[in-house]
Amino acid sequence: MVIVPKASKRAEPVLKQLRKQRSHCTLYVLVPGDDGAQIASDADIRAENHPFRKVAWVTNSATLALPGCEVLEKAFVEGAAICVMTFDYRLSSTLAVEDVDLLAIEKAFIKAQMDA
Amino acid sequence: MTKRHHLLVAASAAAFAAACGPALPKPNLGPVSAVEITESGEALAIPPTGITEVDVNSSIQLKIDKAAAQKKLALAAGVDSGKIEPLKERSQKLTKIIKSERNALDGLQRIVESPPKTLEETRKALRTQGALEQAALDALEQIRTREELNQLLRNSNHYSVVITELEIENGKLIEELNALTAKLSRVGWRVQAVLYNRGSEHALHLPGYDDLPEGELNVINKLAIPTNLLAVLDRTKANTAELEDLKDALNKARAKAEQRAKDVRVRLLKVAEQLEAIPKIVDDAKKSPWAGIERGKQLRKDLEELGGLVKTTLAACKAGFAQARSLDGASLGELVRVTASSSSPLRQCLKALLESSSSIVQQAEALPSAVQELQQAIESDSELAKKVGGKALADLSALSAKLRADTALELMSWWNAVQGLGDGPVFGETEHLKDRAYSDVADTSIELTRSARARGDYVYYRSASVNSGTVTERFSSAPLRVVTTGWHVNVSGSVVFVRALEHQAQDSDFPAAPAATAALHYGSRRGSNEQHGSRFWNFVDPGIGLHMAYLDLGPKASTGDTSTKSDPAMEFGVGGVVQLFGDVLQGGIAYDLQAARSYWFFGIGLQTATNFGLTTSVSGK
Repeated sequence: MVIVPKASKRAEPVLKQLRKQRSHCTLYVLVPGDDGAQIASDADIRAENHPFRKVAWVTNSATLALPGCEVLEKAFVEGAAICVMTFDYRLSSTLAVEDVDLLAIEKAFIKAQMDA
Repeated sequence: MTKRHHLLVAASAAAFAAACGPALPKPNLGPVSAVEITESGEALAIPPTGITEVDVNSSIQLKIDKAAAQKKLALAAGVDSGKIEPLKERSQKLTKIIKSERNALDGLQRIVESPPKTLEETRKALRTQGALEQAALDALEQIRTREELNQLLRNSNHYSVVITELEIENGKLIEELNALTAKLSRVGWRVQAVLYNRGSEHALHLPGYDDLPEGELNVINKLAIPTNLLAVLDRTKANTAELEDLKDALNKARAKAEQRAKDVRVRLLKVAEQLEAIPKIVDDAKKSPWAGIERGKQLRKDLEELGGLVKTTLAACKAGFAQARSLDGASLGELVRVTASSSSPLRQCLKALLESSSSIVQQAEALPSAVQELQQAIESDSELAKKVGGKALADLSALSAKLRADTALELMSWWNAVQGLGDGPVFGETEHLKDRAYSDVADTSIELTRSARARGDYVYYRSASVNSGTVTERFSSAPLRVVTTGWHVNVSGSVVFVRALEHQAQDSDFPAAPAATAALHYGSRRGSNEQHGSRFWNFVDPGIGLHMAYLDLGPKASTGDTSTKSDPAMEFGVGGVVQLFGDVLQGGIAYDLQAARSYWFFGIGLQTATNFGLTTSVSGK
């Protein structure tokens, strides 16, 4: 799991790196705090050891305002707790916090793989 | 040669014997139904009750309702039949899911071992793997709730844990199935058939259910010109020559009928004994602890119904049984008189038995299964077992054994006794039987064309569930009577009484002579689900044909003859014959070749006479 730093300066290259890679579907956890930690932990269970899955936890929502993160920011503003991107950084699906469980996460990952 | 004919006595003996038809087992076919396939390929369903006529050249398909038979077998094995299929289905489903999960896991491993190098390869690998994982998840969703799935997904970061868990569950299922299968391996489905005629029976080969030889194919050519007519005539002559005169024959027939009447009486008394035992079984059963529980309500009701039916029958038969007891040593005349009188208690008793026996047998046969079911219910419910106590199970076991031994099986022979008043096959040959396993229950057939059947024979078949060689439940058929339908030539021996057309003073009055006839008849065919063709036509059964006889008319004395003509050493008559009621009555005009005299005749067929219990009737030349 990639934990995106809270400081914008340090977060920017990490987010950029995640956007540029072309080997994984990335699940962004957009919720900070304990809720975010729990969701990120669950998502990591479904991504760990999977060659095509990656989890990134955005610990500071403010970093979503950085350039290139518009899709994530929009999803966050619309109430998404999770945003799953395809391997070429296209939006595959989003989940609100109340809809998140392991099955929903698994389905979201599979959808992103199929959307490749 | 003239003989005295005591036809009146013969007729009464014949009527008595005719009343003693074939045994009619209770009409409880269980999972078996029968269809007659005629020579022309027509399929005629056989009704489950009554005696049904089947053609000599037909085959009888015995269709076995596999699911129903398996239910009976499961019951015999002490296995809950409703459990097997769901277990199998679940196991099959799990196996399929495990395969799907394995595919997903294998896909992941392949990617780890050789990661995609180009963007296009990555895209393709992602889609392929996504599809595999989607299939695996879809399959899992069919058998797990969302909560269970969340738990499973939490425990596994790959599919391996899912697979392991599913494999454990499947292993348990397979173990359970194996235990059930082991129990089921001890049970088998048995089907037997016999060709039966007047106390003599021959086992019939049923493909798949015995290792009896298949038998030579012998399709009877119903219209074949008889080549054995002379042989029939010789046999008739030889048979008739064995006896001194008709009186002896009739005496023998009467003795046979008397013995039969005595057998009827003995069997009736045996029936009385069996019936009288049932109310006690019912009363004892009602006192047992199981009778007080809710699950035992139906069995208690069934038992009470059986007891009530038996009590009613016993009440109707009480005077009849007493009369049967008092008839010890009675003559045939007295027995016939008592049985024939509609006001006689014995007759009333027979009527009551015939009316109620089928229901009693059917109810009694169903009881052991009901007992077993209740036993299983108590065994599988610990609270219930605790409530009724161990004695209930012991009582039920005893009741089951008693019902099986004392009631169902005994009542079966009782039914035979009541219906047949003597006859019935015993299905004696059992060494060739091959019971079919639970999963192999299959249809079979009786190929009459490969059996030594003859017109007038009966075919009986029955099936049973068997556990470790012991019959646990039996299903019997109503008999099938072998007949010849359509146009056919009937060859038979007969006794004819002849008179020259130009009767002379020195001629005997209607001397008896052995004869053989070959006559063309038409047997009315039955329709599907009918027991017989046109009753009226088949009763009248007219025929027209050829008559041959050994005669002793002697030469014709012409007016003006000065010396007596020599009596030919052998006289042979040939002519035309018309028959009624099969070969029972016949008459015609013929010509004595040696004596050169025309004559007319009437007579009775030996085939029918033999059926009525007469060995033969006249002496031949």
